[in-house]
Amino acid sequence: MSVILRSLSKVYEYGVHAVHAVKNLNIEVQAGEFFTLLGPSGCGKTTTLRMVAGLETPTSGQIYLGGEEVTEVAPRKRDVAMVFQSYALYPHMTAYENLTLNLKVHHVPRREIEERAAVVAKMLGISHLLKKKPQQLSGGERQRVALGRAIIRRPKVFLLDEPLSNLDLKLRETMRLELKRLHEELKITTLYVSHDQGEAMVLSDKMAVMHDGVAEQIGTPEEIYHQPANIFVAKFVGSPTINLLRGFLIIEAGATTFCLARLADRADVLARYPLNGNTPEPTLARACDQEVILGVRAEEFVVHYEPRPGLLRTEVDFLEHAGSVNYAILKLVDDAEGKALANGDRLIAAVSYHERLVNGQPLWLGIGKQAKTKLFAAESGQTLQG
Amino acid sequence: MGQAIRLKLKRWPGNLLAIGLVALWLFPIFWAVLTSLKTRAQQDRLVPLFLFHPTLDNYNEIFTVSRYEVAIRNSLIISIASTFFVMVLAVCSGYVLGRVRLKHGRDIAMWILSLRMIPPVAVGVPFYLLFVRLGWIDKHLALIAVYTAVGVPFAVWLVQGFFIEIPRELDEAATLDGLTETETLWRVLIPVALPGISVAAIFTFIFTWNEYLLAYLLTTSRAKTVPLAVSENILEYHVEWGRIMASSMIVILPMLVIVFLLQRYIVRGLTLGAVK
Repeated sequence: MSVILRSLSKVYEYGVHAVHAVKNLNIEVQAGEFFTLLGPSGCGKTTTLRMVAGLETPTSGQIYLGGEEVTEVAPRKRDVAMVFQSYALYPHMTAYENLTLNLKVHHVPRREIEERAAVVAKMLGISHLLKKKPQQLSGGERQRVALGRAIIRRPKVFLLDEPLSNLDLKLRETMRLELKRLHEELKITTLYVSHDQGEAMVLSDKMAVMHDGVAEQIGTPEEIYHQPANIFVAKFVGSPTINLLRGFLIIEAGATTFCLARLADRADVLARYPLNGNTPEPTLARACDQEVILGVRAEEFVVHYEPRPGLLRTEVDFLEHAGSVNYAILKLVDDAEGKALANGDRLIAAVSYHERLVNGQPLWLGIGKQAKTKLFAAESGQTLQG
Repeated sequence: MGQAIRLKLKRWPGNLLAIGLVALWLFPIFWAVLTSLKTRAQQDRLVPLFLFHPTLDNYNEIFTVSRYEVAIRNSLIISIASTFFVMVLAVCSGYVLGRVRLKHGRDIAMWILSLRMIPPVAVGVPFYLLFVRLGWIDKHLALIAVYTAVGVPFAVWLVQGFFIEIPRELDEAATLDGLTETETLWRVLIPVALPGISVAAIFTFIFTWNEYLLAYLLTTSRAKTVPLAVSENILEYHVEWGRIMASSMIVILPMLVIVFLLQRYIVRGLTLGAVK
């Protein structure tokens, strides 16, 4: 059952003051796809989900479920199931009753209700909890009951509103895998809302990165990670945050070089990085007289201990030991004006945990040959590539 | 083991104080029980009498001489009926005012609450005149109508408060589960608000049971309620203490049983709003 959002908008009027929660959203979710709406708080992702559920009426635009327009249809009739961030379990009913109320309301025969409940309970590992009330259950158990309540209906679409955000880290990781497994097993179209980009990357077939009511980019997790459409997407997706270097382009002898420099004085270049030709020539040519931003992910830097020409000189500010990977937080020594970095005042480079680094140690940063560096126009923030 | 005993001994001043206060509070009840079992002569003693030969004469008299059972029956009919009507109105109003977004919802709620500020005595005489015209004086209907009118504001305010506390997501989950609005009210909202509704019902019942002024104004003989019947034992030159105490005992007992059985719900209802 596909979900299509066409020109969807939602405006909240508060007297003279209006809030545009969702602006002209166009999204197509294929049947059986796991689609995530990803974005920071207040970007409109939950509002969009609630519009698909029917809990909010769009100000303009249409919603299609399986080809049929449902924009004005009441939530009860849409055959969608939602899992709320706070689970919204009925506190006066047992877990079993919570699971089965919707079936009872639709007059499903008692025998079938019991069977379906048994299957779902087993699938989620809550068979031993069915007689308990929500207050007697832990967060993870409640969440599974909420999931079960949605699954047991075999709806056409699942709507999940940040269902994992109330769980502690370990449980979140476990439930993430559970969700993925369930999705593979049930193959129900799923619309998932999250602000956790790591979660979205792991779970989704496709995602939409939203910001201020607008979908900045829609694509597969890979596309979004390696080919972000603009600086916002590049910064939002990927942990640790992407490094952004401010500079300009020079084209000589057919090769384009990105130069990191002090802005006022283009002559004084801090580093030169040849680009690997992802961008078409005409675009590069046009970009030569603008300020340009180069995005490099922490794992794309190559760290050198000896000075090398054309590489950026940095100094280790401190080290982050993150377990399997270590991160060196580096500051630019030569950047007195502090203008070379477009994002904060430090660079992050991933270093193998074998390398022994000390604070204050000078390092020279190169960019790996396989790195898929990203180029953005500084003014618009939009990507210059592809 | 020794440590546990030591700790308990340490708290003995506090415990003693607690026991003292409880004793102080319970003493009137205790004294009432004793008095109900005394003859007139025993009651009138200057030096209070604690050890004596008990008698059930008082209990006997209130039923034979003054037909107490009629008063009890009247009070039951009136209190149960008014509480029922009040609760029906309060739950419906409380639901609408608490969860449905009405344009002037807050104003209406405020107005209903303001009715609570009317002292019953202010409406006593007008109601009397009205009921004389209707021929309702000394009929159950009069008090049921008046108690319903007087009891609704407080009950609505209480119930509305409880309905407001219920998170909207519960409604939303219910509607996605396929329940209509009425079904949601019946199957989800009312059960969840039940502690609050019970508190409102209990308060209303107690109010109607103990109410004296309006009962006095609007009844004469046949529809007498318990407070009136008990006060009739205060005669012109003399007070029948024994009978008063006996009447009270009879009425307290079921109340005690009910409150004892429902105390968990009462406490929960009273404190539910306090801690989130």
